[in-house]
Amino acid sequence: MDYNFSASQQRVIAAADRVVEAAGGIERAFAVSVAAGYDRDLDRALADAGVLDGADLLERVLIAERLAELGVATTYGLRSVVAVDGLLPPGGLAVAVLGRQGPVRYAAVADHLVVIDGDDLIAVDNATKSVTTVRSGFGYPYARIASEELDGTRLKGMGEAWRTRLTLVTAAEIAGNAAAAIARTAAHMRLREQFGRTLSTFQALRHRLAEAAVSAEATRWMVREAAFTADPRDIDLAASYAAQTAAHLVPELVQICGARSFTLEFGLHVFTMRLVGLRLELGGPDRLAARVLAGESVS
Amino acid sequence: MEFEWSTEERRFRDELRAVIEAEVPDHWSELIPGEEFGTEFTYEFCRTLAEKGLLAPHWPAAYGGRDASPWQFIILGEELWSAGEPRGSQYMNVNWIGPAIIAAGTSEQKKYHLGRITSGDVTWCQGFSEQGAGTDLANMQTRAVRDGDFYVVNGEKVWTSYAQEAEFCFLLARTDPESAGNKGISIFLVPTATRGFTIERIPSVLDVHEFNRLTFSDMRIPASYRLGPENDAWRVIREALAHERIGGPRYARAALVTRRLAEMAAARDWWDRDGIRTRLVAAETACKAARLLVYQAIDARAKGQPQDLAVSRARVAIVRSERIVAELTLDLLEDECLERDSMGNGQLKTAMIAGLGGGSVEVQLNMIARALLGPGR
Repeated sequence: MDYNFSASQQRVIAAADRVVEAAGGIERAFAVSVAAGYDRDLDRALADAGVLDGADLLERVLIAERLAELGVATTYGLRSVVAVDGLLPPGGLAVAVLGRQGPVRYAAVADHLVVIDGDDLIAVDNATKSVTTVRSGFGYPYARIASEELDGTRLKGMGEAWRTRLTLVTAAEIAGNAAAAIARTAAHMRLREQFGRTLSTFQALRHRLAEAAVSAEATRWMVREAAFTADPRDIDLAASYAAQTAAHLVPELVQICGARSFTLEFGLHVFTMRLVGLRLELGGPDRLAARVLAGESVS
Repeated sequence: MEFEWSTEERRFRDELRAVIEAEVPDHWSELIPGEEFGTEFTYEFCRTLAEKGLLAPHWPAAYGGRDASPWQFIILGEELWSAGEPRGSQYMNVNWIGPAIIAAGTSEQKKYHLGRITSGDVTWCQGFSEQGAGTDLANMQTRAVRDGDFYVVNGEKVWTSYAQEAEFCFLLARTDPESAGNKGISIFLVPTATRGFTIERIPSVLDVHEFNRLTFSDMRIPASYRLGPENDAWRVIREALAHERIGGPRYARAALVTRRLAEMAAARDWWDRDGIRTRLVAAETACKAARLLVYQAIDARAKGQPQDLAVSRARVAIVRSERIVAELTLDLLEDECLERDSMGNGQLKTAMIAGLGGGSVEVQLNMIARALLGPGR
């Protein structure tokens, strides 16, 4: 048991940070996220840098968590964890689950669309004819998939593994977004004055932030441990906990920061709205619980 | 970062489980930790653990331990807490009273007390809280006035567990009345049979757990009972409290109750009521979250890194887990919980204690907030 990053884990995280910096810095990258865009250049830069050469699943999850915490708009974290099998050529990735009704993150802009169809995968050819961008305010570009128009290569027997890793990476991204949302809220509380005092001096608010921080920290470790064991049940438990955390944090942090948290200029929405979006992608509590109790994946 | 138990740690857990299986009667797994203490069985069990080197394995070998790691300390706690804590109140001895004596005791104190603790022959209570100093422990008013080679103690401690059976009290008293807050406090290791030391049960609704009032009336004790420096005991107290806050791994037993509820749900076909699937998973995740945060604190302890923040987060998560499991138990078992010996009553009462035993959990929220936001003044 060791809760500190190994040298190798530190190296991959630092490498990702360096790529973000070299690609114009975090301010540029974050500005893309503020507008719910897609940072194709950064996605390519991360892939070209070979950050994950030889990385194990936990290191891949740490990258996904880190990129979510930085608030960038790439599919690299998702791809790093889900597409570990080297099936796809380079490029941005969107992953849909057949049978789910909602739109899919990055589906209209990514280079590759992979659909999980029961036990199989479909690597969709010419994805643009199957997707329609939708209006959405959850921090990512979303698009609807026309499931009846899916043409592509069917890959037998890989659906469950991809679905499990999709669950894992979504939980990891919740962990990263949660940590960032708390850090931003704390920074705001230290500066914002009301009634002649900073918000950070009001115990009612301090305790609410502390409770949120406990949930966020626990989410990190639930996800990291699940990535280490790669046990589907651990992954489902981590996903359930991550979804609970997202549901807990968003109204709390929005309430603490006040009306400015609705504005794009304040920037908290990148994390809070993504937290909502990611938990909705995971599914509702009953869906997640059924999956844990059945010991099988739900979609 | 990795989450694997070492071979040695696995072997240690297996060894403990074998001892529990062989030595602890079945009904113990139904008990709330602390419900039975100071009984002939708890002494007998502690002596058995002592003979096997399992009572205080995490202590230094020089003091009767076997230099086991903090990981083995938490494994010990998890297994025994899940088994109803058959060490009775002696878990406190090995978790923090003994370590405090190791850290701050004189050679005479170590010689006198540590052997008794590691042989499983002694029970202790803690004289901490007062009517005006519960969470605000530093506001304590119990006074110990130096008189030559003695101290004369006057005051009152309340809500003290295990005092009826305890042979010694780990007592905090103010030795410098001019000092305020956490300055001017000293620790005393006091036999409860000392003249002027009286113990009175405080009736409570907890029923699975007893409370006592300790009164000190001109209690005259040798200065040699003082542990550590005069007026400057706070560092020792802080360290002891850090152990106390996560020393009883409540999440382990709460996880066990959750598993039992899941079994009952299957046996009684409860699947359509009270959102049970979602709540069982919420309970399981809460227990696991607490466990992982406790492990984070243990990891820091094992490496000699600062652990206060991790301990605070872990404590908050532990309390949550107890409460979530209690609510689920009550909702599922309904009026069955009204019986004192029911699982629901036990879980309710232990959850009520969780946020207060070892200090109010709000103090931990303060400490977490301080790390995030600064002192807040």
